[in-house]
Amino acid sequence: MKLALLALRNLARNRRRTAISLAVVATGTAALLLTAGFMAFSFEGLSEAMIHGGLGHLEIALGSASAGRTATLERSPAEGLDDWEVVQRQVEALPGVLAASPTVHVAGMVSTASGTSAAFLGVAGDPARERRMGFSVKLRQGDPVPDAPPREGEDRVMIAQGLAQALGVGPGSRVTLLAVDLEGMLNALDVTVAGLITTGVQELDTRYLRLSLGSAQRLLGTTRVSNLLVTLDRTSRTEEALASVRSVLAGHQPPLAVVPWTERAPFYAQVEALYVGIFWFLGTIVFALVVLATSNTLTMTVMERFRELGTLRALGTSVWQVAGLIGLEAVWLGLIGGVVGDVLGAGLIGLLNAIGITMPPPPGAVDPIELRVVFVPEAFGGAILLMLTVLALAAVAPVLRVARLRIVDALTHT
Amino acid sequence: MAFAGLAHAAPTVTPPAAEQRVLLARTNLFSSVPQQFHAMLFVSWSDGLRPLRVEMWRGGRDRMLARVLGPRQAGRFLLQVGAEHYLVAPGARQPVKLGAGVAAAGPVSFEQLLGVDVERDFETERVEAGERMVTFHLVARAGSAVARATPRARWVVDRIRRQPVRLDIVLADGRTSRVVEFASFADPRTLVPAKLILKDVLRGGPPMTVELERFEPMAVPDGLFSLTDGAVRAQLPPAPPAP
Amino acid sequence: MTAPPVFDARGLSKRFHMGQATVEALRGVDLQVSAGEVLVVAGPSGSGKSTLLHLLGTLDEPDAGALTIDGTPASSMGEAERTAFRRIRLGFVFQTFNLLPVLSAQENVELPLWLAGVSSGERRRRAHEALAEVGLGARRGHRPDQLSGGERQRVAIARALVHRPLAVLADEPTGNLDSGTAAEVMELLMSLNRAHGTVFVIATHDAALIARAPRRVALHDGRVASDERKASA
Ligand SMILES: Nc1ncnc2c1ncn2[C@@H]1O[C@H](COP(=O)(O)OP(=O)(O)OP(=O)(O)O)[C@@H](O)[C@H]1O
Ligand SMILES: [Mg+2]
Repeated sequence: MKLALLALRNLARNRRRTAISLAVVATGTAALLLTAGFMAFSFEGLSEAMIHGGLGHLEIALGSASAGRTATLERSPAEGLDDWEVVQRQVEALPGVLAASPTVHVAGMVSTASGTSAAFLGVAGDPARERRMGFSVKLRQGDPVPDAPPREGEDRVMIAQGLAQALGVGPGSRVTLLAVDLEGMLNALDVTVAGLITTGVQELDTRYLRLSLGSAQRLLGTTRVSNLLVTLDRTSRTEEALASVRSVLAGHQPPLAVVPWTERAPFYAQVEALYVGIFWFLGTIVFALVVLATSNTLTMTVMERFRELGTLRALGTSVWQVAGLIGLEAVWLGLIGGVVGDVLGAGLIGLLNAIGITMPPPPGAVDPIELRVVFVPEAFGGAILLMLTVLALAAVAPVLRVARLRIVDALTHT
Repeated sequence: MAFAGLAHAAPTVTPPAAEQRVLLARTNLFSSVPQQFHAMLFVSWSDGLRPLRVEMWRGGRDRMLARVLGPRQAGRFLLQVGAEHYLVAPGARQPVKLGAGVAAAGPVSFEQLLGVDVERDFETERVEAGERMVTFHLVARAGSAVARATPRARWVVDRIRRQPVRLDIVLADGRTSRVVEFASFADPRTLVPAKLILKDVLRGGPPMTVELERFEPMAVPDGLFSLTDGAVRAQLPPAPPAP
Repeated sequence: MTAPPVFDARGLSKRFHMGQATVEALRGVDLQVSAGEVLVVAGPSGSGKSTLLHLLGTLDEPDAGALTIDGTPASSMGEAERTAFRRIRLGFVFQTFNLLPVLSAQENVELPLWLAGVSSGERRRRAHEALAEVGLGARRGHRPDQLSGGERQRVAIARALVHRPLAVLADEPTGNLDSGTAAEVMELLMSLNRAHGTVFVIATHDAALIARAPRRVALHDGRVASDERKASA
C-alpha cells in the first residue's frame, strides 16, 4: 500500500467532484494545446510564406553591403557579387541545400507608349531554381517569364496586378523600363508583359514586377547579382546550414555576409514576441482558472476529511505524510487531467484539421487561408508539466491547512 | 544703387533698368554660344570617382544630344528636343520621354552645361547690384521649357568683365538645389565655358568639374535629333575610349 | 522495585477558552495506571473524560501538571517524537470507529504496521491474525461501509492492537453500538487484555461496561471524584 495509491483511491471517493476537476484540467490542457497548435500554424505559415515568398532561408551578399537586417527589395547589384556562379556551386554542393538562386533587384520607372508611368521595384531570379526552392509566383493572368535567358529584344516581365492596373496594361502589352545603371547612367529597356501576378501584399502589388535575370542585368549593364538566396530542404536546418555556408565562404574575397531569414524577415521579432505574448496571456488565464477551480476542490476535500486526517495523525502518521497525501491527490489530478487533456486536444486538432476551416485573408494579404492546427509534440509534454505545476500551486493552501491541523480539533470535528 | 533697394522692398516683378537689361543680354551664354556645335567634355569629381567623357552636339537653340563614352554606354544618348528630354537606348525601340524629375536627376543636365536662356525663359523679379557683381533674381515664365526643372534661378554676373559667374538653380519653395560656377571661358566673346564646377546643394556629394576638351562650331545634321529614326545617330563614329 | 506505571499523571489541568468564557476541562487530575490494567473512566457529560484521554494519548498538551508515559515525561517530547511514540506505543479506538473508508478491513488494520515500516508480507500476516483475533478473519476484504457497526469497531480494535502497543485509549468505544454488541466488544477488550497484557483506558457512560471494569475512575467537573478497584480482581 502506497501513499500515492491511497491518494488515488481518495480521488475516486467523490467521483462527481473529481470528474469536474479533471474536466477543468483537461479542458485547460486541451485549450493550451489548441492555442499552441494554432500559434505554431500561424507562425509556421507566416515563416514559410516569407521564406518561400522570396526570402529564402539564407542570404549571401557582399559583406560591405548592408546585408541582412531586413528583406529589402532595393539592394542594387552595385554592391553585389561578381563571382556568384562560383559561390553558387560551392553552396549548392552542401547537404540540405535545395538551391542557391541569384537575384537582382532593380528600381526605376516603368512607362507605356501612351506616356503613363509609375515607379517599380523589380526582382529578377532564376525561375528553374526558384521552382526547386518552392518560391511561388502567384500568376493571375497570362504566362510566366520563360526559364531560358531572353534574347535581346525579347525581354519579358510579370507585373503585379496593382501596377498593371495603374499603367493600364495586361498580358501582351509593351512597356519600357527605365533605371539607373551601375555606372550611374540612365538606361531603358522595352519589355513585353507576359503575365500578371500578385505578391500577396496589396501595398507591394502597386510597385512589384518580376523579370528574368538576363533582362535585369541588361538594364543595369552588369553581370553581377544583388545576392544569392539559399533555400534548404527543412527550415529547422537553418542554423546548421548557416554555419556550414559560413565556413565554406569564410575565405572569400571580398568578404561575404550570410544572413538567416529570421534576421531579414520584416517584423519577425515583433511577430514572434506578439505570439509569445498572446500565448503567455492565454496561458496565464488558463493557469489562473485551473488553480482557482482545483484549489477550491482540494480545500473542500481537506475540510470534509478532517476527522479522517486527524485519525491518521493520531495513529502516528507524520504531518508530512498527511500533507503528502493531499499533495499527491493534486498530482494525480494534474497527471490524469493532463493526459486526458492531451488526448482531447489531439482529438480536437485532428477534428479541426479534418473539417478544414477557411479564414478570411489577414490584413494586407490577398488570399484567404486554410486553418490548420499543428501538432506541437513538445506542447503535449509541456502542458502536462504545466498542469502538474498548476496543481502543485493549487495544493499549497490545502496542504498548509493540513499541516496546521490540531489533532484534537480534527477528531472532534463533525 | 537706389532702385535696387527699392526693388528689394517691393517683391513684385520690376523691369530692370536699361543698363541691366543690356548686361543680362550680354551675359546670356545660352544665346551667345554658337547654335550648332560639337563638343567633348571631361567630367570629374573631386573625391576620385571614376571620371567620364561626354560627347555633345547642339543643333539649334533647343536641340541637344549627348552620349557618355564607355563600352557599356554604347548606343545610349540623352536627347533634348524643345522642352522635352528623351533617353535613347539600344534596348528601347523609341526614345523614352523623361519626366522633368528624371531628367534633372542625372549627374549632368543640359541646363547646367549651357546655363538657361535667362532672357527668353525667365522674367527678372529683381536685381541686386554690388560694386562688381550683379545678381538677377529670375522666375521661369509659365510654360517655358525650363519651368518644371528650374522654376527659379539666380544669375550672377561680373559687370566689369561682362561674364556670367554663377547660376543657382532654385526650387519653387526657395531652396537652392544646385550651383553652377563658370570658372573660366574658352572664348570670352562667345562665352563658351571652358570649365564649370557643379555643386549639388540639396543632396550633397562631391563637387563635379566639367572641362571643355574640344569645341567645334559646325553644322550638325538634323537626323541626330530625330525621335522616330535613329539611323543617323547609329552612323556616328564609335565613341573614343573612356578616360 | 516494581516497573514504573504506564501512565503517571500528576495534577493534570486543561483549560479551554471559548470567546470570553474559560472552561476548566481538567483541574488537577492525579492518575497512575500500571502495566496490564484495564481502566474505565466514567463521569457525566462534560466532566473531562475525553480531554483526559487526549492528554494521555499525547494528542494534546496539559496547561499544568506532569505526565510520564512508560517512564518518559510527555513534556520532553517534541511533535515528531510524540507522533513516533503514538505510532509505536499507543493504540486508539474511537466512538465513531474512524476507519479509512477507501481501505478494506485488512488494509485498515495494516495501516499502523505500514507506518512502522513493516514489510508487506509480515503486515499481511499480522493483520490477518489480528482480524482473526477479533473474529473477523473471514471479512478482511470488505470495506468499512460493507460492515456493521460492531464489526467496524472490531476492525478498529484490531487496528489499535496489531502493532502490539503498550496501551490502547478507547473513547466511548461502545457509544455507537447497541447494548448486546457493546457487551461483546467489552468482552473482547477484556480477553485481549488477558491475552496480551495491553493496558486499556476506556472512557464511557455505559453502565454495563463500567460494571464489568476491574478499575473505575469517576471524573466530576474535571476532578477525580473516586478511583475504585473491583475487590474480586
Ligand atoms: N476544544 C474545546 N474547546 C472548548 N471547550 C472544550 C473543548 N474540548 C472540550 N471542551 C470542554 O471541556 C469540558 C470537558 O469536555 P470533554 O469532552 O472532556 O468531556 P467528556 O467528559 O468527554 O464529555 P462527553 O461525555 O460528553 O464526551 C466540556 O465542558 C467541553 O465543553
Ligand atoms: Mg467525551
